[in-house]
Amino acid sequence: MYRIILTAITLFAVESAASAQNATGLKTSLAVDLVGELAATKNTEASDKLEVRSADLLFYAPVDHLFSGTLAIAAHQEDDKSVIELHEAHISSDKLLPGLKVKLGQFALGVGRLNRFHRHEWAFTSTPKVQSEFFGDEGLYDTGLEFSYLAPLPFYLDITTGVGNGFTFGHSHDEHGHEEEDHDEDHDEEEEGHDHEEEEEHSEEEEEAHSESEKPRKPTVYIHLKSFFSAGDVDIQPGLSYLQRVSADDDKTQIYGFDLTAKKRNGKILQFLLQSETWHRIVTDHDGDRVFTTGSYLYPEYGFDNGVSLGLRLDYFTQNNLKDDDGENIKNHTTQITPTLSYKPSEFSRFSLSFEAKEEKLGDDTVESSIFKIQSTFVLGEHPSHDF
Amino acid sequence: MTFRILAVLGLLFSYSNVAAQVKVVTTTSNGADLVKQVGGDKVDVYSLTKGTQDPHYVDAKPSYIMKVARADLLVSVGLELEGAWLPSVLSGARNSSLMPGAKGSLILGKHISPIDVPTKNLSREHGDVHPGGNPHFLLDPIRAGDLALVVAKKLTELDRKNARFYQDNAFQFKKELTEMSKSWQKQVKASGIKTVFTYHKTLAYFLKRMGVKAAASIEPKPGIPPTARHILSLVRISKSKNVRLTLVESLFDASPARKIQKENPAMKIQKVPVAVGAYSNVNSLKSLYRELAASFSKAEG
Repeated sequence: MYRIILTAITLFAVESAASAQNATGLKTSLAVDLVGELAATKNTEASDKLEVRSADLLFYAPVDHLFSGTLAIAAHQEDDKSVIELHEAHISSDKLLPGLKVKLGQFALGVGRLNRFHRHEWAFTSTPKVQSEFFGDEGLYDTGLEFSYLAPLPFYLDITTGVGNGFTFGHSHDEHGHEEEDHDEDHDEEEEGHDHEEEEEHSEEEEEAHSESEKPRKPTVYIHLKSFFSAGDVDIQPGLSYLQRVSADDDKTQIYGFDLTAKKRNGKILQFLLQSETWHRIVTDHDGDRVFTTGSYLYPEYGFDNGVSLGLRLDYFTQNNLKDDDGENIKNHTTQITPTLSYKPSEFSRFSLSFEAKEEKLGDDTVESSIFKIQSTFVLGEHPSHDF
Repeated sequence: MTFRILAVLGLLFSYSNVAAQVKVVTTTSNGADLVKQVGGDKVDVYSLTKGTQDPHYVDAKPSYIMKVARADLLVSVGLELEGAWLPSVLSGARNSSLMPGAKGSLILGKHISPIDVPTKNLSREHGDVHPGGNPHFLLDPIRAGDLALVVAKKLTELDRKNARFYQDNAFQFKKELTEMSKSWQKQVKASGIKTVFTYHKTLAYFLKRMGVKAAASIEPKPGIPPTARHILSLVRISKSKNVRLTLVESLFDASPARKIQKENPAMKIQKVPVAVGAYSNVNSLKSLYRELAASFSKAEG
């Protein structure tokens, strides 16, 4: 019923938006993200098909002289069915106090780098491993209150802090689930203890992501600090994040992050982009046992004059304290190298071709897999101006 | 002792003088010079983009946010020139006094009669077309003179005690530009060049004021790079319409123009500035217009 209502709202909004645009400032945008996967080797999780990964419908407008409103509805493919769901619905204001921005409602939490952007705006075709594991494929959404403050300092310092219900954590669909299944199949025996913990944890997260679950012991709280400086023609934005939540089962999750974005632009061409995030997660269960996990990605991209760009993403992910039955450390990591060739005729469309070569290592076992991916994203209608 | 007291008083005085300045942020260097001509030492002007940058395509840098957060006045071009980045800067700055419609906002495009206003239904199929009209109006010296009066009025709203100063400067600037425009028109006319190509429609206002026709743009559509087919059509046009000069704005690549020149050697190419600061010798709007007019003489020289 909920989905039917949402669909009805969507259709109604689309119908009425056109006529309402001039009078109310209502703007609409539709972003489509098409992805095709082809297995290059065995042991891959490639779907071997082309599909619409998501279609995001965005409405935004001033509500009155103080507030603005945003509504984002996304349609996804899930088990070969189209699912329509609410991603964002929030009211915000940057006019209440000098330097302050307030957001109330459901939104993507303002931590890290990728989590603050819609997936169709990302520079690469797939979700980095660490992002997928910690926040889900599409990022971390919740309903709550967020403050963002531009500190009155001689240098740029933006402090974003917020609190979310914590009933949901992560936002993911079937793709994430498949990744987890494959991961568990690959490393079945040696990490029994860990796997069960992780599996339970992730399945719990996924369940929570899809429906309202138990009330958490403590809601999700987070803070993100970001600064900015220029080195010659290169603009650099570093950021630090911290996020914490205590689940209904008294499992405490703490996530620390560092993000970095560097850009060099020459007119229409983004000549150089460097984007990186490193996250460290500590999960402490009700018995006091702790699981430490660290992941990172690094993505340099070079843009040529004709709209073509070439990027290379390097992913690394590991559980820091994975031990065997004797208490000995088990070496484990997942690495991925993803060269990506993109063509961007304008800011409203992009075509990408990537090759993902993944290696999953657990003790003496190594599993290698690789996938070709093609992606096309395009935007219809208005689109909000981009943040740095 | 007396010297020290005087020094301290001097410092305090100079500080209060600086503090009294109206902090103005402009989106373009042309806008910055316009405000400087009117505001003189009563204003502290900062341009977000440099003369070497294309204001259509810049990132919403946090350094811009910092400047806008602390400004008393934001002077933008409007007509969707800064649409891809200024809303994010404004939102990030969280300075409600600079939002469109607020006292500290001046959108110059709302105070001129634009040219190249599309008459047909637009879509992105037509390239980066500005629905409100061509936003490069500050390259018209007469419109710039008119806008000086608009800037004076806005500065007066924010700093009434210097109203006369702003008004006098604006009238003087307008008068000078009106007089100088006549000599620039003569200079261009003397070159005998009546039809040109440009890369983008950046120079539309300047050319119209100088009585020169733009036969075509090297871009097939605004913001779209030229194709081989389009270059071939420009070669034909250059011969049939006797186009003797192609003005390539400093922001763009001259190599497509060279391809046309290869087929039509009679056509000259001049790389020209379109913003203050584009070249070291272009440090004001007046020197910008002077340089543009001189490019016609150079082409014939």
